[in-house]
Amino acid sequence: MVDHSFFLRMLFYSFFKSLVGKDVIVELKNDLSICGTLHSVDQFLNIKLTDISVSDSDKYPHMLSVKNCFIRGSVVRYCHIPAEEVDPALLMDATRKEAQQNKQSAGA
Amino acid sequence: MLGARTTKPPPKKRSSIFTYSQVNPSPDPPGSVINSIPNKDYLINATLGNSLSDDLHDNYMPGLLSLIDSLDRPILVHLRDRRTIIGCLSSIDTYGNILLSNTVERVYAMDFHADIPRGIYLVRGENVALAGEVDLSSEDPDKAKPLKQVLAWQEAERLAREEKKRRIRHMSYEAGILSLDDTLEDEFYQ
Repeated sequence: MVDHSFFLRMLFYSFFKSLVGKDVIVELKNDLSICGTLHSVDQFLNIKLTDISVSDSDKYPHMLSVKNCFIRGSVVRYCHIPAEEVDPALLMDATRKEAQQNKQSAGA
Repeated sequence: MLGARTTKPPPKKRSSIFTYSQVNPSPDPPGSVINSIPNKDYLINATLGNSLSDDLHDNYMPGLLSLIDSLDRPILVHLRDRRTIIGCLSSIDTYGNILLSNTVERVYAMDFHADIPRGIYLVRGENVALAGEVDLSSEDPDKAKPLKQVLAWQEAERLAREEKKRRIRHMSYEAGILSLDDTLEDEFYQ
């Protein structure tokens, strides 16, 4: 039994790892948008941001005294990433490769 | 993993009663962070096994594990049920369970806040939405108000939210849309 979601998750995990050090905006499910530098990411896509700023800080006053934060992957709605850091063709290739690997390991 | 856990941890050094003012405002330089607190090695090995600890000593701590950097420092944890707690981070594990000591629950209304002392908090990982180190010395003291006042404001805000929800439910009922009643005040539920 092959856990396909595992491979796909690993793909996005490596994708996020390639974005480490870049400025991203993370939008949470409670509509809070946090802008910061991606410090690290783990296999659950938990995210650590450094040097953060919040756009509507009067709605979320608790974020004012926080400079670096850890965000649980399950509460993230979107990640806005700089367009120049993404190569869609490369991502598509990687996805096909993962799918191919999944097929092979499922057949074996 | 289990093997690592059975190795007996070094006895925890009993620190004096934690006060926020005792916390060193300038973080340790990179590399020295892990070595400065004796419990960290044990924590890292217990959570990851020995295989990755070499990486970790180069200060590479991805995602969840980066919270180890904040051990023994005040952190703010925002929970899924809108609550915010602030406490000294005592322990974490790979599930994201968090143990806080000298915890206060911080209640917000408008942009004012008040603290309720809560003692020791063990938060199950799934309820953590966000955790970050706080610099309590940089806070504006004018924003702290008496608890009673803040609670009253907060109640008013909650009632307004309820009323809005009730109206939306009523309107969707009129339009023939059945909306599920979200009894749990989970702002991250989607």
